[in-house]
Amino acid sequence: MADEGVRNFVRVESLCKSFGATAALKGVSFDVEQGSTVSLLGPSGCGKTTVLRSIAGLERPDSGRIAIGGEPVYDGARSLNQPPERRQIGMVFQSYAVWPHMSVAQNVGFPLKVRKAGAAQLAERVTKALELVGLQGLGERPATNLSGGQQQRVALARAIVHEPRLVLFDEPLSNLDARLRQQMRTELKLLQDRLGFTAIYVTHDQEEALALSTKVIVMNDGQVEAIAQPRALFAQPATAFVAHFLGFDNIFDGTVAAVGARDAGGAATVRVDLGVGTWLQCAWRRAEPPLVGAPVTVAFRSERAALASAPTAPRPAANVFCGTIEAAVYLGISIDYLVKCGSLTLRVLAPGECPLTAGAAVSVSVTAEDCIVFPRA
Amino acid sequence: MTHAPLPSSAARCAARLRALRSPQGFLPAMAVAIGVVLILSPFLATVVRSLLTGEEGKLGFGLGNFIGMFGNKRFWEAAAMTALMGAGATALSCLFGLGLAWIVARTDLPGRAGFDTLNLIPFFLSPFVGAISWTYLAAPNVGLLNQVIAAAGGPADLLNIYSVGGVIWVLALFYTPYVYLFVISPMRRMDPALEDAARAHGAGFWLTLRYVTAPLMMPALMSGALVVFVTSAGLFDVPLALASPHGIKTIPTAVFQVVQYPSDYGLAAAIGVMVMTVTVVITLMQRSYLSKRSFATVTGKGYRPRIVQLGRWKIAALGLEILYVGGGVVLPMAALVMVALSPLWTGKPDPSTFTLGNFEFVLFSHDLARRAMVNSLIVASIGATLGVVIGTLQSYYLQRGRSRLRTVMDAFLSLPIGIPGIILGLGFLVIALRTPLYSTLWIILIAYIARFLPFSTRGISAMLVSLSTDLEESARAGGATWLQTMRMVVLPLIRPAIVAAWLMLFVIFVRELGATILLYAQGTETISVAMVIMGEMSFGYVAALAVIQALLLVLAFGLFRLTRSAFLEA
Repeated sequence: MADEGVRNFVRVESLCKSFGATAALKGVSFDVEQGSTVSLLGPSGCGKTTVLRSIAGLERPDSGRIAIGGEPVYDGARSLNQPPERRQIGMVFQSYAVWPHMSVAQNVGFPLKVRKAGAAQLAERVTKALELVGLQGLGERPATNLSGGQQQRVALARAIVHEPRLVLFDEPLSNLDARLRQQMRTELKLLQDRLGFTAIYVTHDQEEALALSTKVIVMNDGQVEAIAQPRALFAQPATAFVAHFLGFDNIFDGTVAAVGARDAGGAATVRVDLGVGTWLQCAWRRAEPPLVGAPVTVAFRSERAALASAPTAPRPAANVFCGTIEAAVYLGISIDYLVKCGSLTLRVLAPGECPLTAGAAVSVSVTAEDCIVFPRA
Repeated sequence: MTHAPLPSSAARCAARLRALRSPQGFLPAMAVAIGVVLILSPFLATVVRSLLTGEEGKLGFGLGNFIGMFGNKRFWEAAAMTALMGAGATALSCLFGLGLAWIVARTDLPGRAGFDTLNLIPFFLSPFVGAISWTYLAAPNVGLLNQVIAAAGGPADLLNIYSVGGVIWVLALFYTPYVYLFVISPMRRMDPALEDAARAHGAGFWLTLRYVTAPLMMPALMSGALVVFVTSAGLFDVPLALASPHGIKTIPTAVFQVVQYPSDYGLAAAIGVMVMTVTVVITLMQRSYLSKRSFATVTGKGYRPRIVQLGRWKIAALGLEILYVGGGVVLPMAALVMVALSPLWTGKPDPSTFTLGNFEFVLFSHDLARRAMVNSLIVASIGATLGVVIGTLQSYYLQRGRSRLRTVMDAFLSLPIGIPGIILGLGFLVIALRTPLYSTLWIILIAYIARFLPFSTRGISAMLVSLSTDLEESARAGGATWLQTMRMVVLPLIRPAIVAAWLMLFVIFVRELGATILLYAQGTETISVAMVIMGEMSFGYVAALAVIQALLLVLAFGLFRLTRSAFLEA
């Protein structure tokens, strides 16, 4: 049981919840190891916040089970639903939810106060928590008298001051401006490494999810779409939805034209016909090989595509598209090109010094390793 | 896609019952239940009583009361008079309210902030006292203003406050702040870009006003106008003071008369049922009108409205302010104080004879007056306290509860706002006649809370709805129980609304007359009742009592302004 509590410190099983006629959660299950950080990533409305709020006890699911540290806190079948205050958690809200009628120290000390901590212990731990988040000396300030970034830190200190077994983050950085967001992200990572708390982190920002977590759970339409470690998720998304969400911006439908032998790494080369006189060689990493003629989806990132001037149409070859530049948007570091190739429109991100302009005839090439292929229903 | 089966209705029921066992479920639901009982019991009592005909003691069911009422010409005359007075007061209040709000919110008239406060003072004063004061000012021949007119060579009976026009004038003075409060906040918070866009696309000042500003103000104005119509038409005290002496009857004064000996409770109850039906229909119509137009003018962003340079029109704006503040506050208060200070009011103030004798008499010598003051203070302070406790819990239920009944309850609990006090008083009288509550302060207290609880609930709801639920949830997530969260987070944050609601109820209860007039007995008189009774004795005593009441109200008003500004700064 103890070991079970460590490996599956938080266990969510077939959670369902509807709001009126809309099903927000359609059977969500996952585990969180003790000391790890798991991100719930997905577009708005995918149900990730509902999952988090259900774990916190702020939302009552319709059915399913939730256990924290091996102890059930919600069980639909047994009508068990622990109120939030008994779940021993800390939580950081998107709006920070810093209480405007209290000072910084009163805000941070609240979880200790309701747990009836002694005054000396309370003061000591508040001071320590404020130091941890870099707000030492600001304890007596009124909480409203702080910048957004500082309020964020107050919310963070309040969530960890009572050393909860689990800290929940509900899009904590989304209200900060871009620079502050990056800075807070790094600090959060350091703090987490230092204190080693278990964390569940809800975000719609893929960078945040990749940067902070040991495991990413991608959600879509109330269901878990993929569970993977950040690197695997980024390089080898499991589904076309995940690929799209993680920045694979060239996604095309095609059919399998040929299947090659598997290499030493277990990947088979698959030849996909896109129907515009171009075919792509892609690496197939799934166990069961595809059938020739099967419908598939291929995806690659615009940063991984190479653009070259091609005044005369080159000889048709694998992984090379020919076309003309439709639009070029200068972004400083790079140029965002839209390339028209038959009925397909490709996006290519080229270095900022690339001289090509709209109307130029070009070729776009991409390597087989950068092309991901998914079966299409 | 693993869809879990929906819980059965039995399971849902069980879950709901379990939820009621926790304080979070129980207390708000309890407060709503109290509110429902407070509305339903006088309503049902009135309906039942209206269907009982015949002599006391051998009553039988029948429609005799309604037949008698509809066949009575005097009833229809009173109804027409009530509608006329309500409509006149509404029209005049809208003119005043719109004009004053526009001047304060959108023009560069100097001293606007001061006028903002002055415009609201009549809201806190008693319309009954206002009516009494205006009899000193504008009674034919003897009124102070008529004397001034006569001295200037005009006819001494030019102004006659004892008339339909007089009632409309006094009602309008005291109901203007309702319209003012309804329209000033959209005027202040309207995105000026909406008007700028009209100007930029070729509309001049008047066209912009007609096609953009006025339609945007319409929902707020209509809400204010409806509240004024329903409440002013149902008001008992002003027609009592100004119309009854000359035999002009309105529905509220007719009900009062019918209940006097020899009482015809059946007829009174039939009138009550009519009035309640009409009021509820009007209220529901207003709700459906408003639900169809919710404009996003009020975005909550702190817009700075465009300020209109008045130029030469400053004089006109100032004139309107002086007319309103003079008629609503300065003249009646001055007349009241002079009458209170005069040993014998002869229609002419004589400062050399001014004395505090009247005050001394009502404060220290007159049993009725002293008892009335103590009763009013007891009822007002206990009532206001109960009112905010129940109101806070009700608004928690309405804003935070998960019950499906919330929207229905929101509409239902607001119903008493339109019901005239004397009609609700009648309902409670019918109940009290058969219980030990009869002729106690308790029945008065209960009637007050039933009638005015919606003010408390609505005021507190307005603040609670703007309070992010995150602030509560983060307390729960941080380990606080619901009661701890209420005590340490919610209540401190909505304290300004709670204080404002308490003061509001206190003010209303101190001056209330319509509901009290049918429920008081020897020993349970309130200040306003004492003024009615003593009106037959001496002008001076009534005026002194009225000044004391006004001082109480102004004190509460001052505190209200203080808390409100403290809240705005926070």
